[in-house]
Amino acid sequence: MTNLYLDKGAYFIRLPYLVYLFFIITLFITTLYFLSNADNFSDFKFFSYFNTIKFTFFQAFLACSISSIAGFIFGLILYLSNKNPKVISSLLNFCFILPVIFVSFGSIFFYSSNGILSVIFHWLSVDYNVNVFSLKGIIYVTSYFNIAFNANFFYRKLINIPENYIKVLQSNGISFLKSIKLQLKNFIFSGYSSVLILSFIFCIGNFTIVYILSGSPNLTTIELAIYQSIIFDADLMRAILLGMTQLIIIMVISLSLISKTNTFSTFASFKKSYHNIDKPIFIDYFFWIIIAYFSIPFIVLIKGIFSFNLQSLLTVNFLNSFLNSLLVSIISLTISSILTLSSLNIYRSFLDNNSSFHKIIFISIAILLFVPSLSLSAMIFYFNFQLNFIFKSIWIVSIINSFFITPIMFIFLSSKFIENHNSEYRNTLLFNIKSLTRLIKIDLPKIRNEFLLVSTTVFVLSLGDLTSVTIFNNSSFKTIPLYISQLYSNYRYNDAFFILSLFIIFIFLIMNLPTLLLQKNAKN
Amino acid sequence: MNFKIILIILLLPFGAVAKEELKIFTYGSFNSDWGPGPNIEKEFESICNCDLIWNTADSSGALLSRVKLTNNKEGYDILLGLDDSLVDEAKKNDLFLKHSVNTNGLDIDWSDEYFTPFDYGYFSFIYDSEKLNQPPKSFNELAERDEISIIIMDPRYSTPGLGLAKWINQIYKDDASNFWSKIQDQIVITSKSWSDGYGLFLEGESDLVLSYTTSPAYHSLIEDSQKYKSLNFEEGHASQIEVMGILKNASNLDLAKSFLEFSLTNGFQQHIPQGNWMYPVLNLKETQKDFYDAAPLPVSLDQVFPSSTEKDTWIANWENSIID
Repeated sequence: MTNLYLDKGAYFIRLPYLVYLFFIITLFITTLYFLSNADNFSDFKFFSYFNTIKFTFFQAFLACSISSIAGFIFGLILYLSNKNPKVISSLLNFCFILPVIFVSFGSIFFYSSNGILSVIFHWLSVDYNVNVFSLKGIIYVTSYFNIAFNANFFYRKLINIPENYIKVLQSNGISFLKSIKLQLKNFIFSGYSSVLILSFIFCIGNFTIVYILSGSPNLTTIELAIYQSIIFDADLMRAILLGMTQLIIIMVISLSLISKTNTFSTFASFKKSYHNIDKPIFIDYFFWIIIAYFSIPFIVLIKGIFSFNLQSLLTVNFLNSFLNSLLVSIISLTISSILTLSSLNIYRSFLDNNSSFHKIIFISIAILLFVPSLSLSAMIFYFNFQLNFIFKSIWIVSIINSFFITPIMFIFLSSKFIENHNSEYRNTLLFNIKSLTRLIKIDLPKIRNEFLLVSTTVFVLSLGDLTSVTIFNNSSFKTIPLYISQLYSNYRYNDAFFILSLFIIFIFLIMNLPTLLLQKNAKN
Repeated sequence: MNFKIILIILLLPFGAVAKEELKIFTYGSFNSDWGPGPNIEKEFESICNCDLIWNTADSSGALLSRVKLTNNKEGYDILLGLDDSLVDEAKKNDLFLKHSVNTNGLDIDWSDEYFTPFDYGYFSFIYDSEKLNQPPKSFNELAERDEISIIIMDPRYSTPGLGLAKWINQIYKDDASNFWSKIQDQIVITSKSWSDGYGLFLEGESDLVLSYTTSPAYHSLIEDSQKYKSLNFEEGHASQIEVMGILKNASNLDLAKSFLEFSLTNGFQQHIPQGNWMYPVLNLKETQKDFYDAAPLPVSLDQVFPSSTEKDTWIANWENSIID
């Protein structure tokens, strides 16, 4: 069991991970070289960014805390409402991966001083004084995604409570809520540390939200400062140093939690669920309040559909942006899938051989989550500059997107991929099964369902991304989120909302594709 | 051998008709469907026998940054769209060539060996006259009237935002921080770009928005709406001059120089008032009377070409004075 068995196929499978490692190390060395040669290194005044750093972590802690608490309460209400678990979980998942511009513009449309809520208040002759371009707005939109993310986790945990346990509770006359306090909390919160880390990282990395909704100089996050450094001040060094500062602080915060985690268990799959719990009174009202809360951004769809304008779809800019978005997402997904499978393979082989090096593989992939996309953009920008701009914008954005989605794929697939790895490993040795054969014949069928689901999710996340493309766009390269945001900026609200609505419908169709495929497979 | 000859014969006609290219780097709205770029392109291509190729950045501030970061390895010939607040910084970075274009006889005083102006404007606040009956006549009155809400632009990201910081510093000098503190509660949104802020103002998010004295002309001439007006401050208005220059590693110097010369002719300038909604640097008051009537020239403050240190001070004054 201790000899590392490697055939030719194993080298082939490992190659993408090694290429990735080589790329990351080269990028890191180039960055260090750049920093060591920067003549304005001493000009960087770390303490002048103290308020920015403080605000970044303050808003992230606030949004993360709200999301955790609200996520738990929402998850509990959704569970107690006894509705179809698959529909509810799909809804939460869909809300989590919605493009940031959709929820941001939807919130402006609903809450701004000329928005729908204001019109209703005005009609009721009640003063309305909410400024969505403030910390409140940033926290609201950041929490929207993370509440969905947290609620999905808790909801799935609750759904998976063993049937016998609930029956025992009922026979002993113990209420469900009381049992959570007494015993169930350990089960419900197991694996939550990983969700909390991810949630915190998502709250830190809310560049697009802060960019759209910060209406004051004091509402500046590190990522916004990085954006300013690259786009307006031409200061890559500052961008990289700010990015590293963020990376180090997040790493310190997450380190204790990561060291206790071998694999991230984010979402439990549905098992046999038991639904014979008495509904508390008013639970249906709370259920519909939650549905209404998640539906608020979708009101924009009504405006979008009423702004129907076929001509706006026939412009070169739109078609070009749409094509670029699809290409970026396809390339990102391809890179990410290959890299994930390769790194999972190496990760498992270390586990097969009882080597603790698997943690290094995990960290080398998970670290991508901590690196701000914009800081990575600055590093790649300089790297590309040294290479005389051999990489076109579309490739750079695809690589950066793939680096963002790879850890998500890795974390999501890891537990399923390494399931029963010991017995599988014994069998591969016994029957002399080659690595490629194991991957194609055993691993891929085993993770097929999860792979399809996570691929769709990360594909949609990549489609809706508006971070690195803000740095690398040019006349011929734009993506749909950027195109919509530029329409919005140019006061072409009707066109922006119309295209945004079509974009959401397109995303909805893509999200439902795996379900259809899986159903078809099941029938076959 | 025969294959090579056939290939040369086939490619000969393409070589014979291949046109020279002029690559211009500008901000997005200049070459948008509604901007002056497409018309200027037609005009220039009709006289130069060349292809004019535009490439764009999101904003004027991003242009210089991009060229600095890449050292113009992307190979642009002309950078069009810097404003006077970026001229000093652009020269320091040694990215531009001196020009020999005659800039005498323009509607503004201009003498610079690296850049030629192509339009100018005056910063102002725009209001809806149907909502705001008694508009303030000075900065002091504006600060005293707490009920008036304002949208400004962030001077770190936007040239109009920096223009306002310049304007306030020109008027209040050492007392600028104090003025910022006075009006901070009236500022409801500090947007990242002029277009973001102006759009929010049109949606009714504030009473005033930082813009240009020429903005009402757009509403008047395109939308036939007279309700949007520009505040006329008795202290005077700060100006903004937009310029272009030839980049050092331009591949086609003669063509670039021709374009700079063309930019100071009627062929280019006539598209500025109702394309870029700024004043042309040629006096077109006779041919563009409607525009000048809708956008009368205000009292002008002295032209300032700030250094990086001055800009940093203005921005710091602003940042430190805004508490919320």
